[in-house]
Amino acid sequence: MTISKQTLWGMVALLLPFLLLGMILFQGVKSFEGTEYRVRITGYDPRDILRGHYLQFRYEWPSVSQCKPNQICVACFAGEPDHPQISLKSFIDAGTIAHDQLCAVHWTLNAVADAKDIPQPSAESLRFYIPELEAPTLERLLRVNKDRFDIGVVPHADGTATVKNLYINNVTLSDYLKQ
Amino acid sequence: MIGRLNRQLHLWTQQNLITETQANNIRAFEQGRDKDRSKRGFAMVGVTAILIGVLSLVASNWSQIPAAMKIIMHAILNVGVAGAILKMSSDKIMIKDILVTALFGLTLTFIALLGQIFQLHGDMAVTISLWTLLCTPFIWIFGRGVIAITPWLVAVFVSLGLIVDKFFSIEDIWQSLLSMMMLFVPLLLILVSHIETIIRERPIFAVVMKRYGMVLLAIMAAIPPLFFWDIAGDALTDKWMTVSVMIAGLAVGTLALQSDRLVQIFTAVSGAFLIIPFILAPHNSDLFSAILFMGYFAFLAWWGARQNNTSLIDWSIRLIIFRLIIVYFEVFGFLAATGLGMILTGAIILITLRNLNKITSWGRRLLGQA
Repeated sequence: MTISKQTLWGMVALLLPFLLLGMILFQGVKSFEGTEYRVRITGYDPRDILRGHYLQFRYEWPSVSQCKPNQICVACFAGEPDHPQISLKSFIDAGTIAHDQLCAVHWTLNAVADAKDIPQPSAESLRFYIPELEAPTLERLLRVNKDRFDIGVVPHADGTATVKNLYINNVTLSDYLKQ
Repeated sequence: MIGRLNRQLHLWTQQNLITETQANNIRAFEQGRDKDRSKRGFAMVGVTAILIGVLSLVASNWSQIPAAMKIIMHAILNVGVAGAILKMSSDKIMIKDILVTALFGLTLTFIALLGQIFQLHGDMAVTISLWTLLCTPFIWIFGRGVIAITPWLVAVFVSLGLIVDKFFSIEDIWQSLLSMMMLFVPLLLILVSHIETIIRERPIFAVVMKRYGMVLLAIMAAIPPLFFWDIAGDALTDKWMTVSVMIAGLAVGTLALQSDRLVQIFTAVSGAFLIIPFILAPHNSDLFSAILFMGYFAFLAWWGARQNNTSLIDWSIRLIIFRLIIVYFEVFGFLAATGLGMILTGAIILITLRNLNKITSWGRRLLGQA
């Protein structure tokens, strides 16, 4: 069977969008690789209704911050991923962070501190996409603040992090919804 | 459409301008064309409904299906449509166009699905632009008609807007670029629609691009005299550089359109009307604004007369009349004068509406159109 030049070009053209999809899939899978640390979260108002079914939250960092005002803050993770030791420090340089025993991995918090002067990451890491039907229930639960909510984040070597999972009372969202 | 045609045909046969047989032949021909048009319209509605449906299903993030299954299901759907495009015979233009548009849309819904599953917060401008760019080759290779080219053109416009917004967020550069895009995007569409290969290989694409380009250019030329006085002058710190680039681009573009004299005139004059407010901007004046607006629509009426486009002539004349009325609102300043002006304006509007057809006919006669 011979394929004409025109058909061949057609096949190449049809493959291009799949190449883009492959790239995004690869990026997604790669961003989930690495140790996942759990950080406790709390509800946040006002809810950005234009963004659809996203659960909006703020990270609850340790009450004592070693990050100095007007400096870039990093969240340092060490110890058990399920119950990590988290400390907030000023980012001086990569070398100092690398030699810090309490900073196995770090996450740069490049957003301006919130109303309570607590440093937070950029806006896209402060929300989690949730199923449409469960959205109102989850939002109410987060606001009432009786259940424990944690976000599983995977910090990367470059100081960025991926939001991977949502935990409610130490079980993943999908398991919680099955209960 | 057919109802209006029937009335006209009835009048023409009554006046012995055409025979009954000719009227029946015209009716049959136009009914066939109308059927094709509505078929295309319904096909477009169908594809759009399916794509919005898939997008809604993705957006609802249906929790019962595992993530891997969702990805596999969507991938099968996309591969199936791509396979159907390859297999479909070239003479089934409408079905092939529907499949091409479906794959274009399904690629976007797949991106949205991956974004949800992996909680990706990618850059919207880059994603939409890459999606448009990488889908362009298959749309141009397999697409033939309006159904395939229209969504692609819309995606190109959206991508350009997002890219300008993202990469040129510094106010003055953004303003300059936006100003240039107002002229260059429609100009580029008109120029591309005149490329020999495109006219020969994709005649419908050429017609649609030319139409979109001209309509867009007319809108862009009509907007600055209405809204741009304040923006164009003060915000553009590098105004003369922007204006120079626009004039140079317009000159080159107009010269390249020598094969199509009427479009060349339309492009040159519309482009000039678009640029003039940028030059006159520091001398902010309601009078200039009104003269420019009415001048442009007087040109469009003349151009419509050259094209025998009575509807363009009518609308241009009506817009000129209404712009004249707006001048009254701008002229009266004091309270008493405003009151008097409002009464006068109201009376003028009523008299104008009462005699709109007469004024329009007079305008048409002036332009040599019956």
